[in-house]
Order: sequence, then structure tokens, then C-alpha cells
Amino acid sequence: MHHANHFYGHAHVMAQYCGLDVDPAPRILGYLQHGWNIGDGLAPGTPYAEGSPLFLWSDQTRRRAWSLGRRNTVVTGAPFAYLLRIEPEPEDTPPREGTIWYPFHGWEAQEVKGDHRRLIEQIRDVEDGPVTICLYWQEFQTARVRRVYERAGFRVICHGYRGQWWRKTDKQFLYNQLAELRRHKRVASNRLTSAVFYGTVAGCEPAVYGDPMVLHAEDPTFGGQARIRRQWPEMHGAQVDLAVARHIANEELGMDYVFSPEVVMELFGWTAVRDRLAEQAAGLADDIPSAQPLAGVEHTGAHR
Amino acid sequence: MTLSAATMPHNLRLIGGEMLVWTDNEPRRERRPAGGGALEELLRGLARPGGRVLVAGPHAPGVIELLDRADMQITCLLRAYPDAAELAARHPGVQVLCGSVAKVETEDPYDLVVALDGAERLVSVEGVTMSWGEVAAVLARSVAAGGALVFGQENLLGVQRLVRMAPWYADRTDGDWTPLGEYDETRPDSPADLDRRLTELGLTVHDRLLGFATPGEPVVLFTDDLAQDVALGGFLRAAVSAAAGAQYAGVPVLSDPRALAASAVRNGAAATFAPVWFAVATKPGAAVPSGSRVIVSEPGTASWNLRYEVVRSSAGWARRLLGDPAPVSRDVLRRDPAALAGPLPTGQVLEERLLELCLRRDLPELARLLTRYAGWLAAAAGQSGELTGTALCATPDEILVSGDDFAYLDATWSADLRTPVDVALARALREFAVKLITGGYSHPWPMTADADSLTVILGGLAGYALERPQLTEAVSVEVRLSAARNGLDEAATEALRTQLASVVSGTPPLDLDSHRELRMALERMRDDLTHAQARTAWAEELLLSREKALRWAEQKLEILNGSLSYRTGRLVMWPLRKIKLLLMKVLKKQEKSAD
Repeated sequence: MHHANHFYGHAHVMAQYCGLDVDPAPRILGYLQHGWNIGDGLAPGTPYAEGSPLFLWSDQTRRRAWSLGRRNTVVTGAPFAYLLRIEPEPEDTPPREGTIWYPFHGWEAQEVKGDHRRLIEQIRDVEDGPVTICLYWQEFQTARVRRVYERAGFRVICHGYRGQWWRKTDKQFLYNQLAELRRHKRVASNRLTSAVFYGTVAGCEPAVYGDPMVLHAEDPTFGGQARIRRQWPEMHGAQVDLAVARHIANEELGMDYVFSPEVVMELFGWTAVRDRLAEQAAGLADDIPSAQPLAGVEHTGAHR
Repeated sequence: MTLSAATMPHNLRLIGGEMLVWTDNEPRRERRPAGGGALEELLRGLARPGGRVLVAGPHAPGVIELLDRADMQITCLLRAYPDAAELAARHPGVQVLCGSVAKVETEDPYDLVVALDGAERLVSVEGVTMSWGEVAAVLARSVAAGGALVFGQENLLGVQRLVRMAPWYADRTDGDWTPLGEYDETRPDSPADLDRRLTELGLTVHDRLLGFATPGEPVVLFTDDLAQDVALGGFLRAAVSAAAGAQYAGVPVLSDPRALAASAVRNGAAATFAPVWFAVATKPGAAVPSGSRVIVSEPGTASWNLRYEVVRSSAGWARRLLGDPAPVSRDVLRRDPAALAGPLPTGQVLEERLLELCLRRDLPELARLLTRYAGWLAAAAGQSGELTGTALCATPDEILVSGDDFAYLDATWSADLRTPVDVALARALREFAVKLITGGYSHPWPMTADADSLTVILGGLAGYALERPQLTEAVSVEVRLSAARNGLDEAATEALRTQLASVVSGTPPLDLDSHRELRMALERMRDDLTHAQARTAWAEELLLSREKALRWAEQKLEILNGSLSYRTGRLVMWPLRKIKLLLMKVLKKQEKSAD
């Protein structure tokens, strides 16, 4: 329902997993959690159609969402967990080296306060191999920020644009991220975020250190960074216990909740899409339900 | 009513306090005599040929016949004249006393006193009123030295009372002229209290039994020491739940008695919530069989209903058939009672385990267990890939799970029908889905509106990709087997098919008329409606915003259409397009002429 379902190509990954080769990905009848979250799974302020299903990554998030009044909650695991199923690590993958580092970024409307240079020093102190800095698209486009990291001798990349209002979504976002993660031995960030968990389940050793760069307008409802550090201390530090970290990452991404395509399609309301595709293949139908009301125009409404 | 020596049976004696225009056998008004297979089995061990027995209160014909067959000298005490006259006419060899228990002479006591109906219906509207203690005292005095008393006591806190649409203190039927209930201080309030009060009357209690699911005709009876027996827990929960389901089908109730009865057993509170307690008590010098056991007599009149007991054996608990072991068939369904005899399998009923995992939201374990269950079914199908016989009846409510192993709770049923494994699995999972939805259980997929959808999800967890045609076939199998089992006619069979096929989130239980479940179904429908309205509003808002975006795009397009560069472009392109069209025409002509 919500355009956030398509962020980072999540809906696309799920459609690929289900074998639905439709572009754009079909509409999901509910809200798909689009980032690791310490609230109810929805991004703060997301308009919510009462009673709509929330497809959440982990049972812990589901319990929290339930306690916050969300009843229609279903744990389906993170789309990244599904991506790992459709993109198993090739046997001829070159040996991993170095660290992929995700300096914490804010969402477009937020403003990051912090010192990138101090962070660079800390990265240099800790990491002894080559470092790849992955910037959020907004920072990547900001030459000033990008140059700071490039001058430090780091390779600077961006996985793509997450998309907004079904527009310009980089469907390859998660694929790019997975490929990059698989090139590196370590994944690190100054905040515990989706990327750290993704890296951990993609085979990297995780680390969370450095200035967490607190946001100006950071929503304190769920306890913010302090709460994250209290609840997941095992994920923090330049070196962490890998087994413990993997266990936590598995839990947070719902790696044990990856369901078969039939289950996903039934939950997302995609069985009709599948049946229409089958009919189309048999020459019986010619249009496929689409998630994209209109492509190529700016959104001007209230559905943010 | 005219009474004369000429019309009154010779074996009927009016003792005073008789109720001439009354009957205690009026099922339509919930007045039924006590009896049934389980109570008959209880009495069987107490009957002594040649002994004198007093059957006090209204009892089912089967009770009298059993004692008659055991060659006992029978005296019956009934307060209602029509009941007494009917009994006297049916059993000329039985002495029938008609009147109030207050008039019973106890100088010539009995070897056995049977009062399965309790004390209340021994007192008449005529003459003195008596408390429970006073009636019990008369009964106790009626037991000879070396004799025994079997006494039934309805529990006012029992499941049957908890699910009734009116509490006992509001009862206003013709039988409730003085509804004293628990305010009679002499009335026992637990099996232990019943024991104590009978002991005070000079009796020794040998066995205390708990009866489910109705006080008058308990179909599951077990000695109260078993209420805490862990090894029997799974079996007892299934047994009392099945009893409640069968005995309350179609009866308006406040809440599901199956869930209540099973909860009572699970919480070690079977004695507190059993509809009825029984005591087997004796006067000094008596020798009566005693010991832990469960007696089950499946309710109803179908010829394949079984009667059996569960007793201790060298290897744990074992079932022993008490009835006819001959197999019985109807349509494609067959029941072989002999398959029941032998060691009682242990474990948790699969359905109960699945419900637990749904409540726990333990989807990984649920998926693992369903996959194992599907694998077990597939293994039973073997090379053919089709299930038949006993395996086709292995639905989650008929299977026990222990660790990773499955066992038949009841292997007597088999179906002469061949069904592909996926259809059989779909049928089993759909049955469970219907239970989840209609029972109002909190489960992991709350928005899944209908049974088909939930079945697809459960099938997916089990590793099967089930689709609608398989589900339709699954419903057909279920309807066929259900119709055979319950003896449904064509119209009832079709009604069942329609009901099963249309189970959605707002559907109340199909097999129970329960007020609480109806209310829960109403709330689910309200949630559905709220969601539908919210979605409509959302779609409306989205439509407005997209229309606005479209207008904006159209305006932009118009501006671009009117721009100098666009018009210049068009001016350049127009002659080129014309030339292209002309060329294409010429080429086509040439092709035609070449042909």
C-alpha cells in the first residue's frame, strides 16, 4: 500500500523471490518494514490505514508493535534475508578484504550533525585493511562530504537511491549492497543500523564504534542511541563476539522467518498477480496489477 | 389423574409424597434421568447376583436393565407417578416405590444403593422439604452392613454450569420450586467434601470419580487421583474436550465448553470444574472393586460408538474395550474397535501443540513441526503418493505428537478413499485453520481473512504449495468423511460443504452455538469493517493526490507543447514524418506488385 514498501527495491526483491517478474513490483497489501527499527516497525509518522497488516522483520519488533496497539502484525523477516536466498554466495567469490564502513546518515529531511574528520581518524585507528566508505545517496551527491572521505584515501561508494513515491527507486540497491558486503571482511558503522545487520548475515564481522552523530530532530520516542547501546551492547565496539553478533543479527532480520513464495504471495495479496501472470502467459489476459499509479510525475499529495 | 387398584401395576407402591402430575423425564425441559454407558460400566463392577439394590431417583432404562441382567432384586424409588408407573409396567420384576424419600423405610436395608442422580430429585413438592444432608442420611441408612452406595453429585461450579445461558440461581423451570443450590449448607462443595460427609454418615469412600461433560450422562469418568496424572494429561484433555463437543453440539452455551474442560484438566483443576462427582462408598464388611481408571463411553446412538476403559498395565496405561469389537462401516468410513485396545500412546494432541505454537508465535518451530507432519503423511502414502485407510483420518485432532514422533490417538477409523498427499494435507490443515478462525484463537496471521488463505500459509510452512483447486478437493474429502461419520443426509451434507467453504474471519464455530464465540466473531467482523473503511479512505486520499499529480503533469505537458522549441521541433519533424509515410506506402505497393 505504502510507497515505502518499494524503498531500496524491497518489493522488487520480494517479487523476484516469488518468481513474479513484474516491473514495477506488485502492490503489497500492507506495510513492509523498510529498515531496522526500534519502534513498531513503521517509520515515525507513517500514515497508517487502520487494520492494515504490518510485515515485520522480527518477533521482537512484532511484540513491541503489538504492545503499541498494532494488531495486524505478521513476521515475515527482512527482504534482505530473502535476497540471500535468491543470491547465494558464488563459490568463486574472491577472498574478502578490508572493511565496508557506513557513516551514519539521516533521512533526507533530517540533518546530520557531526564531525566526519574525527570519524575518519577513528576508522584509521581501528581498521588495518582497505576501507570502503558507503555514503547515503544524499551525502554521496554532496561533493564536500564525499571529498572528505576520498581525501582520506578511502574508496567511496553509494548503493543507489532508495526511491520515493515509486520514483527512481534503484531496484538493484540491495543487490549492490550485498555484492559490496561480500567483498569485505568487516562491516562497521558509527550506529547500529540495518547495514551492520545485513553485513553480519552476509558473512562480515560487524563493529559499531565512533561518534554516533546525533540528528538534530531525532525522535526520542523509542529511546534513541542510548537505548540501542543498552539493549544491544554485544553489537557495539571495534571488535565484537562474532557468534553472539550473528545470533542477534539472525534474530533482528528474522532469518528463521523466511517463508516460501506461496506464503509470501498469500500474505502480500500477490496470488492474484501470480494467477494473472499465468493467464497472461497462456494468452488469456493482458494487464497486470501494478503498484505504480503513475510514473514520471512528482508527488504532491499528503501521503508521505 | 385417577388411580385405582385396577389401573396401578402390581409392583408399584405409593409410599406418600408422590407427585401425581409430574415427570422427571422431560428432555425438552432439561429433565433427564441419570445414566449412560460410562455409569453403567461403573455399576457393572458393583452389581452382585441375588443382592438387593435400591435405585433411588430417576435413572435411565439402561441402568435398570444392567442390574436386572445381573440378577439383582431391584427396588426403585421415584417421586413422579407417571415415571413410576411406566417403569413398573416395563419391569414387572422390579419393585417400584413412588413418593418422597422422606417416606422411605430403612429397616430393611440394601446391599447396593444407586443414587447417580444425587439427592435433589428424591424430595417431593408434597410433604416435608429436606436438605441434602437429610436425604443423604436416609440413603446411608438404606445401605446394609457390607453394602455399598454409589452417589452422584452435580457440581454447581462445573463446566456445564459455567457455560449455561442462565446461572443456577436464576433457574425458573417447573423443577426449580425452591432453587436453594449452594445455599444448602449441607451440600458438598468438592469431591473431598462429599467424601467427608459420607464418612460422617458411617460410610467409607473407596473411589471418587469425576464425570464430564453433563451431570446426568457423563461420557468420560475418571478417578480423581488421575486429575494430576501427567502421563494421562494429553489423553484426558482430548477425552473431556471431545465429550463436551459432542454433548453440547447445537445447545446454546455461553462459551466453548471444550476449551473450558481441557483447561480444567491442564490446570489440575478437573475436580473443581467437573460437571459431576461420584462416590463409591461402603459400610464395613463390603468388598468392592477399586482403583484408578478412566471409563469412556462415546455419546450418541451410532453403532460405531465405543465404550472402553483406561487402566494401568505393566507398560504404563492401556485401553481395554468394553463393548462389541466387531468393525462397523458407513459409506467410505470404517471403524475397527479392536485397533483401540492396547497401550495408550503418550504425547500431546497435535492440534493442541499447533495451537500452542500459534499462541507462542513460534513460527520457525511451527514450520518445523508441520513439515515433519507432512513428511509423516507422505511416508504413510509411500510410492503411490496417495493416502488411504487410517492415514487419511490422521488429522491434527486425531494424532499425538511426542518429540518428533507421531502416533494415532485413535487408530480405529479408516477411510476407503484414495487421496493425493497434498489434498489430504490440505484437508488436515484446513480443518485446523477453521478451528483457529472460528474458535477465535489469537494466531500469527490475524489479517488472513479466510480458511483457504490460512491453509495456503500453513501448507507453505509445511513445504507444500497448495492452490485453490486442491483446497476445494480437500473440502470435498472433509465433507464426505464428516457426512459418513455423522450420518448426514444429502441436504445436511451440502449445507456442511457450503459452511466449510465459506469460513472467513467473522465466522463463528460451525459446530457450537456459543455466545462468547459469536461475540468474538462480531468483533472480528467489526475489525474487518474498520479496516475496509480505512483502506477506502486511504485509497480515496491516494487517488486525490495522484489526480493532483496528474493535473500538474498535464499542465507541464501543455506548457511544453506550447513552447517555441517544441513547435520548432514539430515544424521540422512534420515533413519528415510525411515523407516516411509516403515511402512506406510506395514500398508496400512494390512488394505487392512483386508478389
